[in-house]
Amino acid sequence: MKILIVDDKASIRSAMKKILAGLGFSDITQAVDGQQAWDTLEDGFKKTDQLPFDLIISDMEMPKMSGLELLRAVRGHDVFKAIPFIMATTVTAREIIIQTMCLGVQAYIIKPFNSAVVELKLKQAGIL
Amino acid sequence: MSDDSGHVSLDAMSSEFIAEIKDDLASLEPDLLAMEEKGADVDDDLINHAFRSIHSIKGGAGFIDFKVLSDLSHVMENVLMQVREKKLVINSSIVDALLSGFDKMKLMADLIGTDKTCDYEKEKAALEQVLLDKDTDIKKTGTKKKAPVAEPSEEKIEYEPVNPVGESLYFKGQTFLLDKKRLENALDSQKFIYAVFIRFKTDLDLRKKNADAMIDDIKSIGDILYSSLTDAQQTQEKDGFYCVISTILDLPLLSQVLEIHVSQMTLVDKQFTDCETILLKGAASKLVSGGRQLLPRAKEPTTFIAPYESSENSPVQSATGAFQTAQTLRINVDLISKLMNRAGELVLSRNQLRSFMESTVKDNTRAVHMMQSLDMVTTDIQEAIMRMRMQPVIDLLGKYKRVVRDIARRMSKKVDFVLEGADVEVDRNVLEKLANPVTHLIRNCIDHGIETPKERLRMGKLETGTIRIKAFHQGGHVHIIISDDGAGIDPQLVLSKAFENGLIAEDQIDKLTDKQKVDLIFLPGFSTSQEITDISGRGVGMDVVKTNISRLRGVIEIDSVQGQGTTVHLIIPLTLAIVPSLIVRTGESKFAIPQANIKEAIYLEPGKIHEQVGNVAGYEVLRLREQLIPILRLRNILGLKTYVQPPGKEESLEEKRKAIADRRQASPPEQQTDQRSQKNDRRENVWDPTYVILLKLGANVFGLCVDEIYDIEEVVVEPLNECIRHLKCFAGATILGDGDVIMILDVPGIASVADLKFDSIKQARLKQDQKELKKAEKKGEVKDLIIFCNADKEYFALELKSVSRLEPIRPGDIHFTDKLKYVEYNRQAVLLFSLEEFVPAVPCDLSADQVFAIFPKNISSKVGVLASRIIDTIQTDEDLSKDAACSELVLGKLFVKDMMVQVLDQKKLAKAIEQKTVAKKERR
Amino acid sequence: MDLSNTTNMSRYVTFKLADNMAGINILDIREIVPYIKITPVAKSPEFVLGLINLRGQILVVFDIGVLLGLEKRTFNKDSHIILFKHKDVGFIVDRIGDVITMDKEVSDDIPANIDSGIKEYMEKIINFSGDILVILDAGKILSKTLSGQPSAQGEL
Repeated sequence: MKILIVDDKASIRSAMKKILAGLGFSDITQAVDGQQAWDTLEDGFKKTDQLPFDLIISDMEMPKMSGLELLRAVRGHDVFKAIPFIMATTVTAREIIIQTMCLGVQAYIIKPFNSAVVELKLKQAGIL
Repeated sequence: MSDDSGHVSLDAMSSEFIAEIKDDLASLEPDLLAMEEKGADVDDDLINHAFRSIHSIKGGAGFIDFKVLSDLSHVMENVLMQVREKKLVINSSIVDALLSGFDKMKLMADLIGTDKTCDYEKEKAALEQVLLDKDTDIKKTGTKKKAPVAEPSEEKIEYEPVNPVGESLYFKGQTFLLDKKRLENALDSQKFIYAVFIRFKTDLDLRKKNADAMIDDIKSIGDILYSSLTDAQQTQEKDGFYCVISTILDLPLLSQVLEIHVSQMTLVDKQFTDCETILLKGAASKLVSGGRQLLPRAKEPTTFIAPYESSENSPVQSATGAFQTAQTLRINVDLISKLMNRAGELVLSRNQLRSFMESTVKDNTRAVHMMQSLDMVTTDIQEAIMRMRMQPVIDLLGKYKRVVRDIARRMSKKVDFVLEGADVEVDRNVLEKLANPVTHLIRNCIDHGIETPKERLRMGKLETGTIRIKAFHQGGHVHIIISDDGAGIDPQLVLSKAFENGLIAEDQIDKLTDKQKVDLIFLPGFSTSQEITDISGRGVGMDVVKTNISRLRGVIEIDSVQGQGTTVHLIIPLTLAIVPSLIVRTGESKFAIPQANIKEAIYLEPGKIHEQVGNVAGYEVLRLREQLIPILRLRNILGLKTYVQPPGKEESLEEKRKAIADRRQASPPEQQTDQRSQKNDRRENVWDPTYVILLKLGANVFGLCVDEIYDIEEVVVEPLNECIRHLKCFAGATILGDGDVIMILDVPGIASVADLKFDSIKQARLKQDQKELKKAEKKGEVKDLIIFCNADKEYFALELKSVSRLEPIRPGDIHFTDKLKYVEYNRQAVLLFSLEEFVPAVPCDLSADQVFAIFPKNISSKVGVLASRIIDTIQTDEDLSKDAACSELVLGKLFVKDMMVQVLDQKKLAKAIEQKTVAKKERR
Repeated sequence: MDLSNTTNMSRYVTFKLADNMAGINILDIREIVPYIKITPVAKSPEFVLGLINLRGQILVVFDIGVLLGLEKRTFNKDSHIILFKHKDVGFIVDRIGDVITMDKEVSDDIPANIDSGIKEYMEKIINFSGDILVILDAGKILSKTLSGQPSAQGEL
């Protein structure tokens, strides 16, 4: 199970990685913003010609390309749109939530999160 | 992790968040100030950057459950959000509110982990006021699709009752019948199922929404499994309607999206299991650390070692924002300090090696080559390490933007702050110490320098004054130039003030140039109470600034033109080599010995010196734990004069002793009490205590005697001036805390000056050891001797082991035949010889009543040797000494008790006896 | 004190060295300070009196009398230290006199009985108000003292 974590804060990435490890997921790739995540997706796809990841967990507020923009790009891509997407964020602006929902996310994690929350959300997203 | 009062306890993971919070705070302030400058023209990037910082802080605060910070940052975020959405235009008062909020956030960040909380009502209120003052209403966004409410269709629907959980009054006693199929679908796809009560007045009317819009909103985030809207609309008594919604959103999110209070929502009892506790309680309150702790608990979580991401795929940059491009690594401050100390020691060692090489192996090109490589590498390492501690000057100077803004606003002056050369780097220590003086200078600029806008206009200047700070490197120094285009300094004013305060004499007034007059402000005591304003600080005058700068070994200069402005020029040296050193004293002078060279310090007690100090191979040596350590007197090496004060005397006399254990005073002082010796001894009987510092020199150790030792201090190494650079004994000079200049000793230099040849000492020691070893070996021979004699004072001995037996004999029983003597013994005839037949001896007195016969072993026939008396048997390990006077049969002489005993060679005696026996036999 | 010379004039700071009056061009002077505690440096050349701490900077102080071959002097609170520009070095004098301005070109005959030591370090002699004023040459002083001299001083 290959998971891509996107967040500009090292602390968040590190916390998520640990939690995922505790839940049995060790193949974690990290990206610091939407742009890097997108590049990683493309690179992965070029190399393997398959879905580069089985799950994307992304923050919302990031420089260069926000989570929403990433989600839009992913959902607009013929191949990547199949990848389950979980948005992890503190953003509570309703417009954003509605937009994200419209684009389609499998789960929405509100920060701060802990192991139990992540586990629950992974279940919601059909990963666990 | 957090109790109800909002106190936060720290664990390992928290430090990472705290460090990031502080970073975000640091980047926030300049952004806010920049936003104010730009005003209405502020660009989106700037706002976004600031927004993201606050957003991050809020997130971080949430993680460590620091409620007050989380709360305040939330309000800040709201304000910025409005700005982002162009619903608020930046102006100074908004920035004021933001800055005050920022200040409070900063304070909060500092309080993390302590028991203190802080009140932030004022700041919060200010921010909320900003939001209230905003003109435009919140526009409605969202889709306006008029999809009909999803009513479950009537065909063959199976219903499943669900009950809301929880205590909320809204749902008491309510049961909802849901389409079973749809319910099961929702459950299968792991959605949450909520019962929601929507009030007409508060949730719809007040929000200028109609029911359709609400339904639309719900549909955009989930499914409606049940709605009692139509019913409610028909019965106008109801003040709201119910919905049962399935969605992936958590309760808080749902509440946010629908703009309905959380008390009006709850989960239903048919729900996939795990979620209740989590969702109903809202945000998670405990952070599980999920594994081993990464980091030790940090007291002050300033910096720490970040674990480098091990995953191969991760192109990680630990940049905290788009504005940082360089790769960075967080490192513990203590580690760097340690590294710096080592670098200082490395440099000293390299210097010592280099000077040693220059004097001993300068002709060896290979060695010179190697030395050059070492030289280069050491210099590089030192510079790199110094640079690790370098921080860009902007870290310090950037802060002043805020200071300038605040003070200017308070004084109703308009000031522009320009920074040039912000990327110039300075050692961290130096930067810290520059903070105070530079702050003071800048405050002066605003307070006394820049005029009010009115005044400036009157003078034909621009309304806004400028303070410019320029930083650059030059010639091993960092230059900081602080200039303003203000009123300048009036030399006359300074002069009269100085005169008033009695700092300058009347006759000197005329002799001063304008510049000299201005320089008078550096005199201590210049600032009077009139000068002290809240802005400039109490009692902090330019003299203190000057002292601070000179402590950094820097220089400060002022240039001013009245009416035009003032320029202050700071010049600070770049490198600071600091080495921990032991401060010692010999005579009147103190010295510093780098700690790296020191093995140990020993105190020699007066009176005991004698036992501990000896002389080997021409050097004074200290006997210490089986070792012989050569010791030198610093006094002698440097040719210093030291003085001793004899007890009972007023004046000090110059000490003339060269060696510590000077032989002229071989006996301990207690014995020298008689007046006569006191008079004769010019130096009186003084035994001052002495300290010996054991110094390492490669594998060797030697001691340096000093009079007194003080503390270990961190000493800034100043290179020696050209004219004294050649002195081998000194590695540099330094200034102690009290302002005194003292020399730093060069340990190898001292050893070479004293011409310490460790080898010869070693050899001497070796020889001595060998001698003692031999002695021990010899001494090990313990002999049993039997001593006998014919006459007094003429003693002979034989080893007991070579004697078979002794027999007393009555001379009467001796038969004489032909010069032979016989005695009957055990019915056998035993031949008797006299001692004097073999060795020069007094004849045995046969007239005595009794004599003795000694029967040596290993003799073929029965033979005995007569002796008058048996003296004694003794055990001795004494060596035998042999000289020419000894007869052949004597092995050697030794002294036993007070007898000189000739020890007979038993073998030779036996032989001699044999020969005589045979001869006698033959004669027969 | 960095007043520039007007065309032909030079300014000199005068001072007393034992019985002699001497002067040095003001342009060569960084600063004049009253007596500061001097830390002697063991085994240093004879003309080096020691080191001083001037506002955090360590400077060397010479006894210029040694260079000039004068008799040994003692120093007191009236003594002053004149610091050279461009080098972290200064020398001690007994008393500071006036600052005088003179034409650059003025130079008087060198008296016959002058010490050779003085000759080595001086620029010229000036008769000033009846006194013989030895104008010392900073450059000469500095070059002779700071040329290293390790060999001359031997091993130490």
